[in-house]
Amino acid sequence: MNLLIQLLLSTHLIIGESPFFQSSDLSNQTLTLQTERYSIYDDQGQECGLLVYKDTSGLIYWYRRVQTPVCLTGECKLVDVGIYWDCTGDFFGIEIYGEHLTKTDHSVFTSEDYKRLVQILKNDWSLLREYELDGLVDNPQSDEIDGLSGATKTEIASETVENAVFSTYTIWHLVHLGEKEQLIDLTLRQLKNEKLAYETLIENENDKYRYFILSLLSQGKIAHTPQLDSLVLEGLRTKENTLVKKLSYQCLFKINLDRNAQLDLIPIYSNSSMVNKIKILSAFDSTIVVEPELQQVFLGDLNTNNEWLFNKLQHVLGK
Amino acid sequence: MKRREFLNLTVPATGAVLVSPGFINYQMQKEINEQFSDTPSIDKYDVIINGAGLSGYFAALEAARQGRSVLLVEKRTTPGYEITAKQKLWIGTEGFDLMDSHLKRLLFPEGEKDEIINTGGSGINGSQFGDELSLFAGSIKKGMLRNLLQEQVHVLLMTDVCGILSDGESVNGVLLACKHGLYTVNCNSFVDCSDNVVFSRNLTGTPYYIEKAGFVMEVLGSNSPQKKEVNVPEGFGLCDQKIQIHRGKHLADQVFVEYDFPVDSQNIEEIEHQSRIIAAKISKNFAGVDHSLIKAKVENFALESTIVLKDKSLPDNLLKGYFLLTNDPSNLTCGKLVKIEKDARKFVSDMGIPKVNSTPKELLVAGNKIPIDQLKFSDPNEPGLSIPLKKCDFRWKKWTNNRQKCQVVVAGGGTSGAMAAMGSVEKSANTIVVDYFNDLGGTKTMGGVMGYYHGYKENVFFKKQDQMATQVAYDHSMNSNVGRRFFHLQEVLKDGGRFLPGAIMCGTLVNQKKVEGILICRNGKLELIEANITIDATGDGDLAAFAGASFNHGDSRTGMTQDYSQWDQKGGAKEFPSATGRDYDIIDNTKISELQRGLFLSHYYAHFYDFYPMLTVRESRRIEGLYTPDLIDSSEGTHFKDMMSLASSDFDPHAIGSSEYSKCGFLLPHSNVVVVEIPYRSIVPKGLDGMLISGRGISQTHNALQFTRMSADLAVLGYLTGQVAADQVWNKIEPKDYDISRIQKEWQTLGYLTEEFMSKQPGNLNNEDSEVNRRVNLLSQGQPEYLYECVKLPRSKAVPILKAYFRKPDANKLLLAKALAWFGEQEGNDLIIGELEKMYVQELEEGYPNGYVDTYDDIRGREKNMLIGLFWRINQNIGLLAMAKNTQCKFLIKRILENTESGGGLVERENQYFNGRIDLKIIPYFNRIMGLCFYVERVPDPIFVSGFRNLLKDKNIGGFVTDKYHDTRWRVYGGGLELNIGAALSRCGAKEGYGLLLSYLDDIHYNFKNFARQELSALTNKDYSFDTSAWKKYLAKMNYPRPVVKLEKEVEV
Repeated sequence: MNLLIQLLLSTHLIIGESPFFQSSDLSNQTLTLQTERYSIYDDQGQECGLLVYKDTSGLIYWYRRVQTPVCLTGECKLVDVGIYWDCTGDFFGIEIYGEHLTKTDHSVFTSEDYKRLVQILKNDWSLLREYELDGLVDNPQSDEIDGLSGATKTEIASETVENAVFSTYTIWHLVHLGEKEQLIDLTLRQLKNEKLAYETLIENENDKYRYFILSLLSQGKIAHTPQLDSLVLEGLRTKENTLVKKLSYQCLFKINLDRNAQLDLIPIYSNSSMVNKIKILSAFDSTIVVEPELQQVFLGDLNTNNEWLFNKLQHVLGK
Repeated sequence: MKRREFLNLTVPATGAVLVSPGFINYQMQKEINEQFSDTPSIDKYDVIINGAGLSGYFAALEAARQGRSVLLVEKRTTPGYEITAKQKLWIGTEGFDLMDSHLKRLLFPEGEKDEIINTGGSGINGSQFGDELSLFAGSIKKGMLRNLLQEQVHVLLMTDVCGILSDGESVNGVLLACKHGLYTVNCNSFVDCSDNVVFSRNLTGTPYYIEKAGFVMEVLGSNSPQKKEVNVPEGFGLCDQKIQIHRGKHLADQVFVEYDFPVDSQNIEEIEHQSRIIAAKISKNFAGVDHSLIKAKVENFALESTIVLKDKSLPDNLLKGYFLLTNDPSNLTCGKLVKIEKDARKFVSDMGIPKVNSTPKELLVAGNKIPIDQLKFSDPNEPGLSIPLKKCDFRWKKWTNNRQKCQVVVAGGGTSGAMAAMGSVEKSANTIVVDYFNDLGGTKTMGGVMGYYHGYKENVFFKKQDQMATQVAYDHSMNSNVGRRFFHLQEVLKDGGRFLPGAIMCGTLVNQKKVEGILICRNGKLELIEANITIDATGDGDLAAFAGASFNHGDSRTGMTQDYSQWDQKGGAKEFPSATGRDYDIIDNTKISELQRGLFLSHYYAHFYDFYPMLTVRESRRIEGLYTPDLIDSSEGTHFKDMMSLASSDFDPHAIGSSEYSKCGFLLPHSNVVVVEIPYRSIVPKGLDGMLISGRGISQTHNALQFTRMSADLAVLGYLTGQVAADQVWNKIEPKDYDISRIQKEWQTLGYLTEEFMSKQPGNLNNEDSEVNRRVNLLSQGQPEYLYECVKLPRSKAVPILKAYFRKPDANKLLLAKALAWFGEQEGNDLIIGELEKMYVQELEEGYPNGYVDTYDDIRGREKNMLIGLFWRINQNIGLLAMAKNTQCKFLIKRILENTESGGGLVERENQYFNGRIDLKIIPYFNRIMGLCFYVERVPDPIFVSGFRNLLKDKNIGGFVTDKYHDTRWRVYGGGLELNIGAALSRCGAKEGYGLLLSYLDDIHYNFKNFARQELSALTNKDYSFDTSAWKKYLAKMNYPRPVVKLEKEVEV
């Protein structure tokens, strides 16, 4: 079993080689390699190189080529894969290079197995997350990996490609544990370095990316801009995406509440629930002057019979 | 293989080697149990000391050595706060030679050597780095507590002094706050050794000004660790713009980063928050702070900040018998420590303890004098506790000046509570979350249980919160534990929420069944938090119980709960001398003595480097709510219209399942993975307004709890509970009148509730005629997995159909007979008996197959929870015949009983983790014997007495009453087994049974005592409470053998 622990030996980039398997999301997308080079750290603290790709709309994707050994009944084979993540750090796709992935019985992965692998990799909370490498099989009797030394634990069998628990586990962990946070950081760096990438992301109307950019704003990781401020105000008005709406309220603290923004807030405030009114009021810290028009709206609420809303209004109006 | 060969081969002798490093001997066990093994022998202490810091510790030891009776009260979970809580784990070498051997052993015990991985040090235990000696917090905590207990100092941890009883001139006693409420205890003298004697300053109204504070974080990954002072930019807000770096001896790359800062506020809670906000600023910029920290990561935060007062002059005009003892722990050196000890000893010698014979006239609390006639005293239900406590109540609203108001107060900031606060804050409610620790997160942070075992992890919010916490940790170069603490703090504070840390929650403000807030004690000061909605997120239902809510605790037969843990810290070490995540004893966390005993045990057993400050208790009170989900709801997938969230787990009781379902083999540990719905009604305590429950203490049965207690699920449930509370306060609706459907729709749009679940038909199929027919039909066709499906059906519907099928010629009569037996029917019992006999003969011939004891990994994930091994199939038949109360099989049962033995000592498990779980450390025949008891209790007969008598002679079965067996941790289930035999024997009328029950009245475990008492009462129709001598006298007068007494009991669902 000691050999099991000695996985993840080498990781490096090999550029320009064609994969013989590509997950469907990848084959449906045209990605163009960019010139920048970045790196992240793997679980062992080793630095690993990353490439940046862009799709036709200009959105960023991260790519890592990994070669790592997985041993089969005494014989070790390299798993040679390319992993793609989108700019939010979510798994996007996988490519297989060199030889087919191999299973316990020395057979190779079928196309169904690859499909299953991709499906498993899309689950960022697979049960595989909570397991150690040496706890994947029952009664392991030798150092062999994916060998016949022990049966895959029943409770995780459904989360692995049949007869390939260690390959599945290894790749899942390469994709999911410790990567997302680093990739978000890299996306931020790229957005700061490249205005076009930033604008592409902001202009993308996909809810996922909108949510992502607003998250960055709410966490103070990107500074507000007039464009972002508009996004937030738009988010406050949206009736379709509750998640974006919720996040937009959290971003209120981060945007410039100038006269125009305050005027925009008037109908929003007037139609808001008590909960959202408090959120809007909370955004008015002591440095913001409340515009007369909005002040009138706030004053109109002073007849509320809710002492907590009243206190909040008093606090904002009393500045 | 024959039985004998099997036993000889497979049952290893266990003992010391298994309990390493925490093996404790009889003497140690005696030290731990001393305080919980008798009624109080005194009615007042000579001295009560407040604060087990250095001075308090030395003073307590000295007073005890002088023959004084001493009670030492410490609000933290461990002693030595100047070093351990503040994480100041270094001491200057100056004066090292002045330290005597006791002090050296305290700071540098031999046992810690195995955990010192950094080989760069010199001197004692390789601890010296330059002019400093590195310390282990665990060594000091363990050493101090053991020394105190050896000197028979009574110790109360997690308890704070919050008032003084006085006759107007002298001290008569103190008022104590703990999670169990307020208590008084009498004394002749009181010494305040609290941090900066803040208690006395508050009590006397002496103003003080906090000049600055300090904080320490433990950091790993330093690339050139050395002691040094580093200048940092002004933006960090530190005193003199400096941080100090100290070496650690645990790992070569370990350092402690220490800093002082001018405080922004005089509120201690805001100072604690400021400490951590600065820590995060520093760690986020490690690379810019010092080149040695470029790759560094925060491993731990200090548990609390160091507070420095501007004016250190002490309060005066104190009562007679009231003393203050202070020290200066700053820049601690060996010489300074020696002086602190010397000063404390001299102080005790000089203080002169008055003999006070007067009675108290008033209770002094911060800001008030309460006349004695305003206090109500009562005796606590704490059998065995040697500390003469009196429960004390008064009108808090009238007599507590310090108060804050909010819309929602969340009592307990643990896994569920921290999330409840987040949910409430997000809904804009003015929210206060209160916690005992200075960091939020509970089990997941202060208990160190970071993984997610089971839980419904598909929940969108669950994933989101985990991602947010992970991101915070990454952004601030913190490990996931510290990152999570900081994440919680940020989330609560960012929208105006408040977090009151360091608070003992000791009361509930109730007015005519309406909960109006809670009473807390912080730094010896009582405070009221008034709120429109109180969320009891203590996990123990403390506040609901204070308010008078009804509750259940443990299983319905014995009251036993899951065991508790207190995990050791590994401090980044990859290898450790032994497993750091251990399960300890079973405790009843609602008892003062049990909580203390739990804490003491952990100190004795823990590793030396350090251990997490929090006991992780898996099971405590379950507050009765408007609805109580049970096993049927869990396993049948009941859909509730008022569904709040989902939970998912296998059946994980961390013990042998206790209900009839387990005894009959249907509900074995780690079987039955299910997804369960939690209805809103289960978080609303019955009969109380203004309160919601969050966390494991919600309304549910003991069996249901085993599926719902996973941290991933409690986090989500907590968050949604916070949202509900906020919605209720904004809409001014009482919880019992609340319609959850509107917020459910909102959660659906957010993805927290899925269409898949919300569109289900309410209820389950269990009660439908077609379903009953279907299951019985499939069972009759010989599909054994439908046996469990049939026994979950309602009796009134199942039995007629089972009988009808049983009479069909081509039906599988044996399976149908088993289902009928479950429902108490005799029809077909002979088939079960026949099969039992056959299987038993096979077992005798073949020896015991795999599965003679639960191999949980075989059960885990097994399809349809089928019983495969012969051992459990035999147990099932015994159980079913017990359910049928079948008397025809008595002689077969007698034969099995008389051929049964322990099978040897504790079974060694397949790996270190399982070996560390006491619920798995059982003798081979444990479940067989429990099954036999299960039968005999229901069909008692004197013919069984000799069989049980013989079993008790087996050294692995008899003699596990605590005071007769030193290693209770490893034999708690041995005790449970012996007690069950005692109950079975008693029900058969045997004198030995009554004797055993009597002896368990004095056991250390409250659960055992209480079961023994209940059983004696049920058998005799008398109740002498826990008065052993009264019971003894009564039982001695009875004639034996007594008539048999059948156990009549509802099936525990």
